[in-house]
Amino acid sequence: MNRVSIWIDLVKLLGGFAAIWVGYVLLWPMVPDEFKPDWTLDEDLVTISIEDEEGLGDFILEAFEIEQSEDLPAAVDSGLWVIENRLLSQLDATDYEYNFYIVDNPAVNAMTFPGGNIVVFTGLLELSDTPEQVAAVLAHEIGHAEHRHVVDKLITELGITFVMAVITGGDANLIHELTQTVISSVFSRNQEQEADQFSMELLERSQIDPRALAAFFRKMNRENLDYADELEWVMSHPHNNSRIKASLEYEVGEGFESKPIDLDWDAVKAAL
Amino acid sequence: MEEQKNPLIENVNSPYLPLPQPDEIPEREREDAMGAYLMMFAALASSLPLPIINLIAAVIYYYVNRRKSRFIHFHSLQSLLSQLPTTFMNWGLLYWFIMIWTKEAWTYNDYFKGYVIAVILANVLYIIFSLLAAVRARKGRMYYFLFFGKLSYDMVFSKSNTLVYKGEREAPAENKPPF
Repeated sequence: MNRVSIWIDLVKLLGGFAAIWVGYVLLWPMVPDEFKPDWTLDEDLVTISIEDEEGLGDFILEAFEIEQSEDLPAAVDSGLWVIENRLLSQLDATDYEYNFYIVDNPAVNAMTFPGGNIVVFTGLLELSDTPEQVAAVLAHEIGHAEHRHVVDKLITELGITFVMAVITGGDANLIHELTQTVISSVFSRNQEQEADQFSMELLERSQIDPRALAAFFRKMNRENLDYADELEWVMSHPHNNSRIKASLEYEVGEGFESKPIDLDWDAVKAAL
Repeated sequence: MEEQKNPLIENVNSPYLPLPQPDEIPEREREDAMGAYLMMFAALASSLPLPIINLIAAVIYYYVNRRKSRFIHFHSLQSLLSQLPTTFMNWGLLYWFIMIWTKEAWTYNDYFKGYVIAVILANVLYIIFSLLAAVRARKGRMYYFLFFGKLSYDMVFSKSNTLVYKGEREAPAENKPPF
């Protein structure tokens, strides 16, 4: 009997701690937000100003010789304009003046450069079945910009001193290093999730069905394309399916009504 | 099992030896028993980011002191045993934290936060109860932690414990009762 009570004590002890752990995981999500302390770290302690970021963006665009192309077919140019306008008109307060660039390249890719510069490859437009899917990708990229993921990534990879040196000096070697970092490094899973969430919220406000994001992911999965690094997360990420699921399960507010983007998408694609 | 009424009189049927009472425990023994708890704090503080030194120190203290008396053995064993889960939990936290830091696939999710809370609680409880036990030990008293107290008592005061303590008779008693 005495010895049995020792093991009963052990069960109590383990049970107590397990209850605390499991209890937290199960019950904490039910606590209303206003009662929760702020767990998030202040990640903006080290950052650079919007003006400096725009300067960086200019350096990078220049390095890649990306500019607003004038010989793009009018249908493509105006098609993208319609999509981006739909999104930007619903972007409440933003520090950036967004610029969208189309690059003639068959890779299925879109990139966010510093300073609100978003680059879309023609390969991505060709792959997309609907303008809503393009809108979902653009909204995702806007999410990266709004959360300042690009700058955070640069500072994490290169250090604030390096980034400031590029901004103030503009040395060619430094710029080369910086541009390589921009295109070669990937965002973290948290950052991707934040951008996804932002994308779905912006899509909802823009009266676009947020499931367009999932539709695009699935399209890429189905096509099983050879992806550029920047879109690698869509394919290779272990939690890719959970992201598709998150998009499919995203709950739109009451009274949401999706309004199709008024575009002849086939005509846009034909013009590419 | 028959209840032992007077702890000073040995109950021959009990599988356990009678407990030493405060007036039987010399000052020196009380201090060594108290030291088992207090020494952990010093070791714990000195090895905070890498919680391994405290465990080594605890094991050394235990083996150096356990033969001095059953009272010291009990307290240093309880201190050592109760430290093990806390240390393992701290290791787990450190490992989890490093994984989050170095691998993007690990995140600060609710499982991690719940674990942090459990670990903090374990450390706080360990510190509070160790202080209480240290004070009791200094007064020559027993103090039983949940689980670890009973386990240590069972290991030290059981008649099946064959460890030979300083001052206790080593050879088997020659004079035996008639029945």
